[in-house]
Amino acid sequence: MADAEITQLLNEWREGEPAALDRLFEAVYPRLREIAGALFRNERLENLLQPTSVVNELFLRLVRKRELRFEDREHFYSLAARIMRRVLMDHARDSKRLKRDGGVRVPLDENLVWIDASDSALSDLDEALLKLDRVDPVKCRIVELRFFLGFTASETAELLSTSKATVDRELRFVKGWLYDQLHDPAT
Amino acid sequence: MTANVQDDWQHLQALFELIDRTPERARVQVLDSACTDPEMRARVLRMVRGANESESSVAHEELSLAGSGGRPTQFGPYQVLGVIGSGGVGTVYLAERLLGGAPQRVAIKVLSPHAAGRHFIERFHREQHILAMLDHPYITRLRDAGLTDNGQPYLVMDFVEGTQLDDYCDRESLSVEARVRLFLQVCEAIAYAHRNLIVHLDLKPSNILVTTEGTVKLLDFGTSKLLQPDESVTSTILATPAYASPEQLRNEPLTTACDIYALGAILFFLLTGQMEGGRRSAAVAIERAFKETQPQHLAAAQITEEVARTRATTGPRLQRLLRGDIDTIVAKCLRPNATDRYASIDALIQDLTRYLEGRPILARPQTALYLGGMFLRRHRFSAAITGLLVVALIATGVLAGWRQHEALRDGRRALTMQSFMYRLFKFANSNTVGKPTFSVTEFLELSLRLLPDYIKDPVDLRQAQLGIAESMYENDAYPQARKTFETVATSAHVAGDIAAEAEADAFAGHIDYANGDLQSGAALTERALKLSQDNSVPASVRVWSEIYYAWDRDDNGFRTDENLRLLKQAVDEARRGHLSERETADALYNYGEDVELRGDMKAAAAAFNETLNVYKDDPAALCEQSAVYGELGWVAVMQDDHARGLKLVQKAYDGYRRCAGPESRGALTEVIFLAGELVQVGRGPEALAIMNNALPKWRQLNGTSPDFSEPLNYMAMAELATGHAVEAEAHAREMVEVQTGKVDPKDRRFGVSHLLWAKALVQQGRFTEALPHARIADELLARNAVSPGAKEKMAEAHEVLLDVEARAARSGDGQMTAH
Repeated sequence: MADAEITQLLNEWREGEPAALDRLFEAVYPRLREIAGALFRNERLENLLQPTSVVNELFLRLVRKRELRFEDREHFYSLAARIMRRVLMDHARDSKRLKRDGGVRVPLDENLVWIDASDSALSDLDEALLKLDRVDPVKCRIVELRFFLGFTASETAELLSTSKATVDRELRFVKGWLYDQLHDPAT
Repeated sequence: MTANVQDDWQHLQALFELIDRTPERARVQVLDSACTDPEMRARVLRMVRGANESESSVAHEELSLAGSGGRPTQFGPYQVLGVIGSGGVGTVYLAERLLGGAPQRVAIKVLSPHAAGRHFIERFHREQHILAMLDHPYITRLRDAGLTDNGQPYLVMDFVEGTQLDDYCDRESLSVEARVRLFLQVCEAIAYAHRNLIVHLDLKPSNILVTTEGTVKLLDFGTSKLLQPDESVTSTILATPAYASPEQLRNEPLTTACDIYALGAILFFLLTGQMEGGRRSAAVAIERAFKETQPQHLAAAQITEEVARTRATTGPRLQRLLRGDIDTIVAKCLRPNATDRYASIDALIQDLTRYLEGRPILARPQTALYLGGMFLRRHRFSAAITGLLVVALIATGVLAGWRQHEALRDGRRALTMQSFMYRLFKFANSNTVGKPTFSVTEFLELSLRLLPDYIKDPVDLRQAQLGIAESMYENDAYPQARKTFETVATSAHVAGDIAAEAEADAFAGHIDYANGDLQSGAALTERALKLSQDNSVPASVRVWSEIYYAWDRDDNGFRTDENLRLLKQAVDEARRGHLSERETADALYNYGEDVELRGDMKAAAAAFNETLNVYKDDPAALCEQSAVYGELGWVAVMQDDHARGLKLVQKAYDGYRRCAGPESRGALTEVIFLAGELVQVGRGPEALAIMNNALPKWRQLNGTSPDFSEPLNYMAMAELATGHAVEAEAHAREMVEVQTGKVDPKDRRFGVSHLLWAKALVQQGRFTEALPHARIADELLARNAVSPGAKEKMAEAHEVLLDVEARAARSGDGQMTAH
């Protein structure tokens, strides 16, 4: 797909066009994997496969080629976080496929370690996040950036133009809420 | 989403936060009074419990995720004790081995089994190779390397028990100074690596530990590269963007300047507790890298009380501490262009050390010079004017500092000067003054007007004004310079600032001499000489007072042994008082001129050649150099070596054209001597051409001064040599006119004028008219004819007189027919 479309799709996604996300995923995900693969082959062992590194690298490449404007960074990173979340869930659903592709693993953020990383738990988590997205999309984005993309609270706050204190506060609430969702069979 | 759901959601969060804040034993009670719905109450309690539980469980399970492949128990002779950390493809273990009974703790780095592959192993070997090259107390040492039973490579490193650099600084509440000292250790380790051609490329606080003894240990050289000569290294890796240099982010060739940038970012963080430019996220760092944003000032960071407290000071004091030199140093590390940064870590170390010792640092704030460069580019000034501008900068800033011998105040003065120059250039570049400033003199006048806003101390102000006035003088702007010297002299006199008064009087007197006001010149230089004997007057001012007093007197005909003694004394004093080489050479030059005037060509040549040794090495001394060539040319002429004389004078003229411009006083002076030499070697028409060009400029420069008789003299000579006797007669008459009333009627210079007049009349056959002029010339030129030049003139005048007398007697009426 033409790269200029990324900006266009980001706009559509921001304006609430649901199909835009799928198309963005198709456009961006292969490139993320390509970058992850290249980094994996050539470079640094530690940190290397942190999702942030991979996403930063893609952001850089898009900016270098002027396919993306700096101004789009909030949407780009939000999108990337969403993609990472989907990758993780795909991994949980079909670990074989990822192994066949070279074993690229996206580690779960330590803040989510308390969730038992079994396939079923992850799929429950995905369900819960879908629900959260419907009720409070901003909180959902915080979770994605923070946990799936590995952003620090400060980075998350900066990207969303809010304070670190707010991000911390929201996260604490979401953690409690998620815990309730995942541990109480009634909900 | 319905309004109802939204309300419930907000209610839930409000309740959660309320209960989360409430101490555990009071929660049920508070919840009961805040919420009536039992289901909601139970849910909130579960959530609060969950939020707390999720935190406490993290620590437990962290390690289990890392060691998912089953933890090894042994690497060669090393017994594994636990896991230190783990990343995507590698794990670091804590291990020990028994060595002569004492357990030795090490850290073992090993690839995760799934990361096996050729590239990884190559990379692993590279790190091993690099680490093996490094043996430095501030870098973790590689102890061993090996392969596991199933062929996985591992590295054995010193195990460092320590705290991350920034945490250590905060925990110990280290002051700014102590932080800089600790930071210097990091610099030394990196300087060592650079000397081994290794660039680190991923410096950040988490890679730097401080041991309990307060020693820095650099941990990770996993990203480092070996620089090969003539090979540019690029990297596809993404170092931690917050500390990565712009060129790393732009994927450009990497050099040691990347590490200097990272060091600047780390120091910024250590000092302010914040990332430079607010670059917490990669996106901001990338944006700044692409837009080449200039570094933020340290003092612009938001200093909280907490930040100040952990630096053992208060907010306002920390703000003050972060201004000035340390800010300049950090900014120089963080320049977006690698070439604008410190050229080496050693230069950075040097400046940090100077900063700690309270000495002036070598990096200077960019602004003034940068804007100065802009100003020059905008106006396309010649190299000569650039030189003058530098003279102005030096004269106002640096010389003012030297002359008062107040090294301690230099730092403050430099700062003041910096902001002053900044505003000056800003003004000069803008239309504030009605039009963009275009001449150096206007520029200097503008600086005079702005100065009082910046320098409140009247002593400092006078020094700066003197500096500017001297620059005006150098720039041939005599009226402006004269006025400023007078202002300074008045203010210095009222304040009892003897040094400034002496300096101002000396220069003002020298200018008066040049303008032909001999009486005022003599009075002022005499006053300066008297004042300069006071103990409070620095040696350089005394030297100049002596020079101007003695030289101007000698040059204007009051030639005494006392003057020669003073000029000699000035040279000795310059040497004794350890004045700069330049000032010593200046004194020597004037001494040389004086002995030349007195006919001691050998001594003059020796003095000139000695000054040349100093001037030759100084590109800013091209004008002085040219003056010396001119004088040496004159010496050659006096020794009858006209070919050499012509060559040297030509060299002097060319030099002045370059250093001060073709219409400068220096170039115009050399032009007349050049014309004289051309006449001597029989190239009269060329001499006439250049004098026709130069004379109007001279007339404009000082057409009423007796000094104007000099160019008129050479003009007339060229005219006589080319048969333009009528014009020569007019110019000879003008010579006498500009001298009358200003030069002693018995002065030899009248003799020179009348000699030319006589020769011009002879050429027209008007012998009887020529007779009185020839008589005056003969009489005056016989006086004080010491130098070879003067003796030559004396002989020539006598010859002309004899010739005129003979012809006038022979054909008394011849003149009438020629009329």
